[in-house]
Amino acid sequence: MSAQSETQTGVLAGISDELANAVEQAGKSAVAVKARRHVAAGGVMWTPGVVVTADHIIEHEDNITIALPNGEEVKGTLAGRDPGTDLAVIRIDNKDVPFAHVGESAALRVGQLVVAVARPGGEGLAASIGIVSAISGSWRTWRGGTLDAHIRTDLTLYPGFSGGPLVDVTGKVVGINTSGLSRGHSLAIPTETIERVMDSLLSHGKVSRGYLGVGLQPVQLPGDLVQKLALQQTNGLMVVTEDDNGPAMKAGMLLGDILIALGETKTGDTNDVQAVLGSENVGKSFAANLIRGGELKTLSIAIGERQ
Amino acid sequence: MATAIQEHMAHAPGMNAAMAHLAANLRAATVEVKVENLGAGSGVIWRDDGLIVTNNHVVRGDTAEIVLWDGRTFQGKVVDRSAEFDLASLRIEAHDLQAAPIGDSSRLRVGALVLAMGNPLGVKGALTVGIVHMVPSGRDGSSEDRWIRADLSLLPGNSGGPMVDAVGRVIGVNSMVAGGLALAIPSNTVARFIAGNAGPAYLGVVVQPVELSNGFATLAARGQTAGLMVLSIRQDSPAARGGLLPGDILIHAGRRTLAGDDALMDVLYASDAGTPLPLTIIRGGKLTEVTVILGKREADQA
Repeated sequence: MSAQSETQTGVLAGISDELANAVEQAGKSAVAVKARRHVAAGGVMWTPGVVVTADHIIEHEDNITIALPNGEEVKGTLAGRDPGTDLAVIRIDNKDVPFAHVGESAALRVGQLVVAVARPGGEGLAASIGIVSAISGSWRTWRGGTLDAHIRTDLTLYPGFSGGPLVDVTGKVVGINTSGLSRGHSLAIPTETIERVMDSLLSHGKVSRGYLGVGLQPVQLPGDLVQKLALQQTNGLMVVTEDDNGPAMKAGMLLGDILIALGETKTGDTNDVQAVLGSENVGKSFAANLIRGGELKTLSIAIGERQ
Repeated sequence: MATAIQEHMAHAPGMNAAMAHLAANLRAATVEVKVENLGAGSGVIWRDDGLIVTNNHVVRGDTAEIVLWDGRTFQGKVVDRSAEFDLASLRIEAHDLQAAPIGDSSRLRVGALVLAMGNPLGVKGALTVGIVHMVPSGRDGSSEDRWIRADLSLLPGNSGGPMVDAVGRVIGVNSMVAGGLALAIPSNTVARFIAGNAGPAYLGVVVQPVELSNGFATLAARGQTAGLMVLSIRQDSPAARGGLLPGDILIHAGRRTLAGDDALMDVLYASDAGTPLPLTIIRGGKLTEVTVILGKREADQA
């Protein structure tokens, strides 16, 4: 073989070895989660004694077994689940299992090679390869939660792969794979979302969501009203229903009020309001700017917690 | 710290050149197999004296047309076939053949690059790349399995063609697609077939998977939770001669952990008749070792 062709075959061999190393590295903290009949799902030992997996794979909460990389099976206790982001957190007694080397999903780039790792059948490692196909910003799931980014990959999620780690070529975990948030597409739940939801589930057992107690309908504001009130927007949200004793009613909001801003956020459609209703704002008071009877008014509203 | 991948990807021409180089060599060792003038599948030039390997299901009759990459066409005569292995070998009278280097299929790692070449859907010399999806659990890092399982796309027409590793060595003969995965017959099995083994080795037991209760799980290494219980033993079989008894629970066979249904069959597919197979078993609640000498499967045996 010529020197050039030797170098050339070395290129692919080097890449092949790196991929196998990345899988081996990821395997050290990749577990199998047995929480449903038939196929075990994936999971990641995120911190000592804490396993993160996909919420949708849990069918029986009271009977969860975790298969560890060393072959041992241990009982798992559900700490909490958040269907909105398709995440669940499970505690195990064993604190010696290596935990994941976690990277940042924010550092991912379209076109980057990524590998999904799992233990289908609960024991041996399996892998699937692809690239990051698309990344866009904050994304609301159809189940009411928010992912910090919408990360699509083109790899195949074989049975048992949901809930398991997505890793880069160094074996760092850059997300958790799920087929449960987008019909037919594999998504990676970003590490930033996982950290946020995990903290909430470990502390409170759930992810709290803000609640106003109103039904809001986007409306276009008449041009002369916009001019008269010197508004910077042409849309607002009209109060069409109100819950008894909800935060809006307690704040003095009335049917027919048009909400145009909540705190610093102009409210042209319901997405704008949802953005303010994250768990971090539960219990906080915000100024609600509204139009009542053609005049501007400001009320103070304390964000409640959705039950 | 830049990884080898980051470096090579940064110099994309390096990786592209490497792929192209591998493809060119592989193309020269891949043939098209035609039956009655229709493309039936692909094949591998296994030896440069004219031995061609393909799938049994690609070649029905005694002959097939073998078309080389350079366009030369030969009539291939079937030398041997095995329905169980899904392999067939043919001979062509040809010179200046470039056989593919053969690799050891038992050393593949999960995640390693594999590439397949063939004639999918009539396209000649098409290359596809993926990774090794899974290898069965063995005790020393090696694996003998009935299939190489790859996360890779195969299409009709790829059957019988080569699956190679990152340095272009043939580690499998593409056989089929199952559950989205590509399955290839391991090169070690092909070697066994060419050496005269018509199919898997024979033990002579009927087994059933059992969960290891009664604390038996701690007897097996690494918290293995299942084994294979021997329900019955065929008369005069290797199992009978080796002293296996009904009720024995098989835990390991050779290097392979016997945790699932197919595990024993995988081992038999990867073993030669006439060779010893060490078995770790639980008998009467105690762990013990029994070695059997595997036999040849006769035509009428299950």
